[in-house]
Amino acid sequence: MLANIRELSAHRGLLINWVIRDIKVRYKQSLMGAAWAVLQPLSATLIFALIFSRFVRVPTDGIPYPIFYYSALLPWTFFASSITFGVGSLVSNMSLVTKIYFPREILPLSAVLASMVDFFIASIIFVGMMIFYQVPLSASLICIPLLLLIQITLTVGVVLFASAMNVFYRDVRFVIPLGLQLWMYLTPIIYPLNMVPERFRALYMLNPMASVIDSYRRTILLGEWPSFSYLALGGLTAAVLLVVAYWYFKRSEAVFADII
Amino acid sequence: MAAIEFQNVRKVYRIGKGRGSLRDAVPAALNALLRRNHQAKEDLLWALKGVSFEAHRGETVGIIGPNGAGKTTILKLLSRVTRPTSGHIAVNGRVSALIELGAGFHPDLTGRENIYLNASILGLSRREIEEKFDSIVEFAELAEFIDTPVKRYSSGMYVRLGFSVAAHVDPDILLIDEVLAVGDHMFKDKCIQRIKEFRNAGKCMVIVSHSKEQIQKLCDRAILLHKGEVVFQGDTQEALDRYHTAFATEVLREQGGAAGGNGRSNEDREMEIVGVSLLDSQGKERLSFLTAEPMALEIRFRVNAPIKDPVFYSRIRRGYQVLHGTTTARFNIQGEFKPGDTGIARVHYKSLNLLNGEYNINVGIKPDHFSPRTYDFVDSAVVFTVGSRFDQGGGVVYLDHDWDLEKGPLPESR
Repeated sequence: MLANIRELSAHRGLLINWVIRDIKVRYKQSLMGAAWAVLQPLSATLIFALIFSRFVRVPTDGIPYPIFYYSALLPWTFFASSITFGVGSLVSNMSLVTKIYFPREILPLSAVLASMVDFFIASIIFVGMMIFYQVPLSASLICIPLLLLIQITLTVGVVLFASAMNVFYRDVRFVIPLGLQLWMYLTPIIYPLNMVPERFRALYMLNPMASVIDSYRRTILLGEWPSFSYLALGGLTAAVLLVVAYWYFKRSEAVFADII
Repeated sequence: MAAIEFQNVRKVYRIGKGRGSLRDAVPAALNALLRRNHQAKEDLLWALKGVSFEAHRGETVGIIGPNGAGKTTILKLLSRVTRPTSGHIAVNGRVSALIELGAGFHPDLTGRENIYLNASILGLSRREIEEKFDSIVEFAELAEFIDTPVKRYSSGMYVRLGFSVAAHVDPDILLIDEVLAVGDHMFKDKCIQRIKEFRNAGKCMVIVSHSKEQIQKLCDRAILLHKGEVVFQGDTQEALDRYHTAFATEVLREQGGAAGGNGRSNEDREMEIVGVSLLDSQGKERLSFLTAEPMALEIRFRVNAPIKDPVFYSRIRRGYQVLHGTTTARFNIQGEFKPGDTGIARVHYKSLNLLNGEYNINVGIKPDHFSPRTYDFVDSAVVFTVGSRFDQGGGVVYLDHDWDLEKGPLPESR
């Protein structure tokens, strides 16, 4: 494992260039370019805000609807697009994988990093919203790097696992969009966490995205401290998944070129 | 310490069954659990069956053999793209592969962007790329188009850029797989020059090529592979000779695709060619001759059906152009054969009136002189070279001649 990480670090130049490639390729020949990075979570936010404020009234702890949804959809879009782009990263670059050696995790990892760039661009809008809705800055904001770390750990774990699986079973590519949809409903995005019945809470919180998304809202919008016990549970789940996924990925890597 | 060391390397591919979709995988997993059908139906393809060789610094080794011999598998193992099933591989030094040029190019990115990307895939650091960037562009002769997306490049430009990036990696071990099969002549010469520079710089190179000329020009030593086994390793010329004689018919039938027996399997042919050789005046097999030397072509055949008066033909060609063709019908040679018979047809070229160059011979057996149908044929069954003296002239055909020169008055009648 350590040797793998050392090798990956020796290839970080390639990782950086590949991330740049992914970003350039994604927006080349598209009229609005990087504006899509913002439009995706923003348009979902507008739809949810409209539906859940007018037709179905969802309680938001007094948070204005647009920022309530955007605060959850922003990190969720990062998570979902990392996986969507990452799952096919090995298969779609098979001409490289079968011909030249480099640590293969660079391909799924750069899908995550390229989505992270989108995430940062879309975050600018979020800062604008915070100013508009006059959300006060609070001490709890220092938790954000920790939340991001847990989210990225989980994302990388899922992407490594799914992209390697996809080499063997192309079904994975079809399972992912369905899975992400279900996963979104199992995460407090369109509803606040306190709508989840207390007796299911522990089970529900096994989903690391649940505690991460809830914590973003809590720390940024409400100025509260996150529930550290749930966060620890989510973080531990994510870390275990990452280690297992990386092990599985490296073990499968040996036969990628023979199978693709 | 050898730059490359292969010890009894075996590589097996699982083909066909099993992986690809969950629909197949779930029942397979269940079967495996219940220990029914366990690994029974898996098709195994042995790409390498115990290959051992070494290559040292400053040495260029050619790998030759018919398709499916395992040449590409060896390169893949050397570049660590795949791993051996058993055996040991040691590679000492930085490896770079000239395999499928431009494999990492993205059509929407510009030449400049692709240079950065491709060079970093091949293992160059950002600083190294910046240092070598101008040289890469210059070598590829693409300065004007460097900010154009490569999808607008011609295939020649694409190849030039790919080779140029790969050639600037400065590896200790360079793997080359048929990459010089493309591109125009000028650039090809430039590539070969570059490869020679690598050799002179003491790098180790492994070259896979179907081009006899390139193997001859570039390699110090050659390994002849056949069906995953090393048949011969040593002197380049000997390896090439063996390749073109021992496997000539079999090999060329595979290579030619359509060439050979109209796609029918051996048993379906009324007559089949089992071997083709060139002999010198001593009756010894040879693939290089001198101008005006006698040469004999031997076609060994087997008969699978009752046949009367088959016609054998031999066509000497340079490239695709037929220089001379002859058949047994022109000599009224007849014969009757029954299934199980074997035999040899020989053409005796009394004087090989060809000049310096590489030639090949198509052979075949037909029902009669004018028939478009063949019982069997092998295109480029043998490839041979001819060497000539300076005073024998230039061109293709040798016409026995001499010159004289005199000084004096011109005759009035002419």
